[in-house]
Amino acid sequence: MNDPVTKLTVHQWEDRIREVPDEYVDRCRFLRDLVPGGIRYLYSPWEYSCRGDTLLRRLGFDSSKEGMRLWSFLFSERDRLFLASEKGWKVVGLMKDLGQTAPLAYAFPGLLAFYADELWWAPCFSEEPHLLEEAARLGAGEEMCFVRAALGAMVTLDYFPAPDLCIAAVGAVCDDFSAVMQLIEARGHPVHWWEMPQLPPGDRGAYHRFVRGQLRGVVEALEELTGRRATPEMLRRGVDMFGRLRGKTARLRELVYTAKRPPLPGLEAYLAEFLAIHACSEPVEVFAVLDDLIGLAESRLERNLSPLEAEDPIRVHWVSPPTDAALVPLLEDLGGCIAGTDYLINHAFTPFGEGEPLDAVARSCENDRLAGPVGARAKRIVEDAGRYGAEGVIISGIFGASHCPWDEKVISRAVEEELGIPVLSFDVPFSPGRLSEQVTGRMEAFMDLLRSRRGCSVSMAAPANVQQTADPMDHFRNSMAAETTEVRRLKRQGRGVVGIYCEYTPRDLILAAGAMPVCLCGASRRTIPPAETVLPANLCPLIKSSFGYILTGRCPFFMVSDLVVAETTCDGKKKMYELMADRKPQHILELTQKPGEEEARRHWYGEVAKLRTRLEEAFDTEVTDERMRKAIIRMNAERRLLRRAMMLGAEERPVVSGTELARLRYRVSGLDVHREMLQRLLDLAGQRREAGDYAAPEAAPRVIVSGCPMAEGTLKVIETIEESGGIVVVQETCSGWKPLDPVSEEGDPLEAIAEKHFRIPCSCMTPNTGRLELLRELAGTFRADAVVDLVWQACHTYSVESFTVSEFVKRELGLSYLKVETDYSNADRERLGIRIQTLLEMI
Amino acid sequence: MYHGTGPVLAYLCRAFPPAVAAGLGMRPLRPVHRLSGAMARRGEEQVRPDVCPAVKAVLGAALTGEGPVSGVDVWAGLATCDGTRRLFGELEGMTRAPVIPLHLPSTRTPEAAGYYAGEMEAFAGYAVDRDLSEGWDSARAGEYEAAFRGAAGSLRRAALSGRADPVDLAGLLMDFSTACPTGGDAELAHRIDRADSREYSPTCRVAVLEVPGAPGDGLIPEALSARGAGMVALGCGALWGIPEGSPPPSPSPGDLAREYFDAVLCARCRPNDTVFEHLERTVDETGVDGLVVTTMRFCDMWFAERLRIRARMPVPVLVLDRDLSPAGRETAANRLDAFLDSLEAAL
Repeated sequence: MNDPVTKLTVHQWEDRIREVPDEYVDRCRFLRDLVPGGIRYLYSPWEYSCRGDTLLRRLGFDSSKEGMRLWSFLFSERDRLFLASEKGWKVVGLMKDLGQTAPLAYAFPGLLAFYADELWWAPCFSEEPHLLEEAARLGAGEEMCFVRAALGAMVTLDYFPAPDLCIAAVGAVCDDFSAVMQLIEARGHPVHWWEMPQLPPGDRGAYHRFVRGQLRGVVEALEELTGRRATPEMLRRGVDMFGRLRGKTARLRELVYTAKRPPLPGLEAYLAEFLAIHACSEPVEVFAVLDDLIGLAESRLERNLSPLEAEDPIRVHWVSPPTDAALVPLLEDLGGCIAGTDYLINHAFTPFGEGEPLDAVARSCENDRLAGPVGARAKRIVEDAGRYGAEGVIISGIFGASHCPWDEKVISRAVEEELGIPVLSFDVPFSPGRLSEQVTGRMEAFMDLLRSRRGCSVSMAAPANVQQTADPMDHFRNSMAAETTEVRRLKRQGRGVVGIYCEYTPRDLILAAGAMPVCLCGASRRTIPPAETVLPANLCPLIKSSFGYILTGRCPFFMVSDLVVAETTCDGKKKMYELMADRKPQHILELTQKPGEEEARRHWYGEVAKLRTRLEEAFDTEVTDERMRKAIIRMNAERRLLRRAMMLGAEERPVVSGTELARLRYRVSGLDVHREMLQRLLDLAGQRREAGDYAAPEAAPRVIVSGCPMAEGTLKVIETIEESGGIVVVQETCSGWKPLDPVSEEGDPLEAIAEKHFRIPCSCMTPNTGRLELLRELAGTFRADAVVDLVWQACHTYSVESFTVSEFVKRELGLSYLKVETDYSNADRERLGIRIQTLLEMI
Repeated sequence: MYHGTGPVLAYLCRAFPPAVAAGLGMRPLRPVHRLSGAMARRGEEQVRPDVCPAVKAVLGAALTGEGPVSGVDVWAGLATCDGTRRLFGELEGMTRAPVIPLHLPSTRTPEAAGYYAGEMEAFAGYAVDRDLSEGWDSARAGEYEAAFRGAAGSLRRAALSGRADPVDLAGLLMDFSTACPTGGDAELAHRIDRADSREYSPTCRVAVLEVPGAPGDGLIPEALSARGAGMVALGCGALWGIPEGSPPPSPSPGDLAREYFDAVLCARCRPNDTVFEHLERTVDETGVDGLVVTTMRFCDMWFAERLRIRARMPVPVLVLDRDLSPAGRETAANRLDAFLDSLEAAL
């Protein structure tokens, strides 16, 4: 792996992740104590952005594999929590002690702890407010700081499973979260309260004894939960472990913040600091993450390498954690760098002392900067800013936090009086998807001020603020975030949500019941390892990925589904549905599989009728013929638009690539925004045509991709074809052309719905002559040169059928044919590229 | 009013026993009423506007040495929330008036009570060490506390009866709360008796729960009085937090702290279910027709509970999230009028 020291975009990392050596990827595993061998977690940020953390798509990332390990570790925390809970471990939500009780929790085997209050960053990364809105519904509105997101997450349970116990610190910590914790308890979550008083002046003997007693109470609560008594050795082990972690974090901070050109970007350093808190969900692995980062920083310092462009960046000390992660890169884009921080967790960089474990933790509590007077915190900030050679201080207040309004002025005064350097303070509002112009403008002006103090008047303009896109290509590439927001919004308004997995499920019928159909098919390789702890490894990746989402609680649509329709298409899915049956109300839709027989058709009609009844019961409504007709018209309009878009591939020189068309595979049907964007896409195609902006070279081989469905995240076959000089003109798949036949708008609507869906030529049908007929039609319409038959590993029906398809394509259609059997991983991408290049060269 | 001698010791939270001041030879003062918007604006010179208005106003008043805190010689820096903790952390440096810090635990365990008792003992020792007091006089503290509770008991009856004119009752509570009088104060005793015995036949009765520092602008009692309605006064703005029954005859600071700790009824208690059970019980026993809760802006502890209060109470609830500005008063007055209209219509 080459080592260009720079920052990469999420898409650049999507390519670069393939260069990470397999042995390194293989080392990055969590929950080794729970799952033999552990679960792999190193994926590109794109993977995590697809799960809803969309801000990642607009950030820059350090180009090192070590940096990516850090990101992956932090963003896989919820996977650990859900998996541990699934496997019967106790999950404990620690709250507001910022790392103090983590070593005590770690002492207990079979228990996984996490910091619920650290969910404050979640709305920023997801760029949507659903956690905050849930919290507001329960009384914690915008007058309180973003820690209220934890209350929302206790309702939605899409970031962590319901904790078996919450350990809540109150006293001299934070009023906002104290109020949040009380609301959490009022919802029925078990809470053990403990007190961390404000630091007394003078003698701290009574304080120490009291806190030690409180910590003993925490241990007893954990003993009661786990049924195990904590020995001094167990506690010592936990304290030692976290003490060493603290030492490593402190070492990394020193390396990064004292360097003239930091060896790591500020954002990575920011995340690394918070490992001191998040370590509790996997402390052993954090050692490796930190060791990697320290090694990387030392190596870069020796070679004077930095991912920052500025040769002599302006040094800024940062106070309070910026709740919008985009602020730190903005500072660097403006020619600055982070020179020390006070993210309110500085106590977590001081190793625990020797001696009795509870004594050591109690002493650590005395270092919490929030527990003492703000003047004392200001004094330490002045010392730190001076030591790190800061030229200015930025205080980023947390909007609504009760301590910030006091702290800001006291700290500002102290810095200006003691150090004589400028201070910029502002509250960071919640502005999903973009930094507020006011904040950006103030940062720019501040950096200009600092630059002028150096005697330099050159101004660096901030990069253009990325706005919410109106570009249809961007929309479909990032559609999951918009869909998640919209589904949650409509759900709150009372709309039902029905999860589906297969194109045989009639969306028209669900819309007619007033509900929203959402596709739950998994397209992430990241959810496969957790799924393989339950499912066999030699199963179709689509099923494993889908199930992994359920297992790790990562599917936002499943979480809000009122009903899941389980279609009996293949054996793997049928058995998966059985494993899911106790999680959501489920309706089995039996698909008859002899498309040529009238009895089968009649049975299928009965099944569709039963689904209508189930929907009527589930949503307490009547699905009348009139409502069905309206839904058919609505869905047909959507299908027509999709068909028109797909037909762009039929042009002599397509202006839209197969990869772009593949992204039209969105999850939620019936949304106006998708229809609007489809129309825009057609307009955009016209503009490209006029501009001569084609998607592929003239005479590029035209390829039909047939077989299993794909989605964003699993498009490697299409991408590889197009990277190799070909163009995918159409997909003969359920993610392409197959499901786009209209439903007849005449006659009995239920009959029409049943008839349309029964005609889908999936390989589960027998005989499946419809697929061959469709291939013949598409090959003619799209003037194809070749067919690439994609078979997901262990998809037996498509795999066996490939022989028939191969014979038909080669002999009947006279086209080139290639069968590709693969999974969701990128491991075979090189091999795939060679095979596809060979195919294209032969055309 | 109480005319004790010695330096004036000011405190904000009911959990601080005023008898501790008396035992140390000081005069207790609780200057949480008659705070004004002007004082809050003065406080904003030192802190941002989005700080609790009461805390800002105390800070502003302390900086100017005017209003209710004029003449304060020493502060009991009882930390109860982020705002007061920071206020008392900085106040001495800003005003030179000594501040003796102590922490009121949120948790309700015997260990927490013990810690608070220890804090109060340390507080007394600290006052002596700083030459603010000549020493602890347990007899004087006991005598004061007995008289104080006696006066509070009489006033409590009037406050819960709903038969006192709301304006009179609010004035009494304000004077009692501010000056911490003993039962021996003839004028106050007379006023309390008069309020307790007056035949006032209200059209309806409304419980009013005010947090400390709520504007003492007479908005609610005047509105109730104008309609001939009765007021049942609750919360630390009234008499919550004052222990009932006889105090120990010669208490130590720690003894008093334990009794006051046990009497705390605040949303900041963790857990705080007992607070709302008490409120529910009181609303039920007094048979009021509605409940008005006045919170102070930026007070997370009370404001976050407003939905739970509404859900639990058997009567209509109006929550007024107030500050000390005149502008906010009109809005609150309109909402209060609408609420009282609807209550009357329902009767």
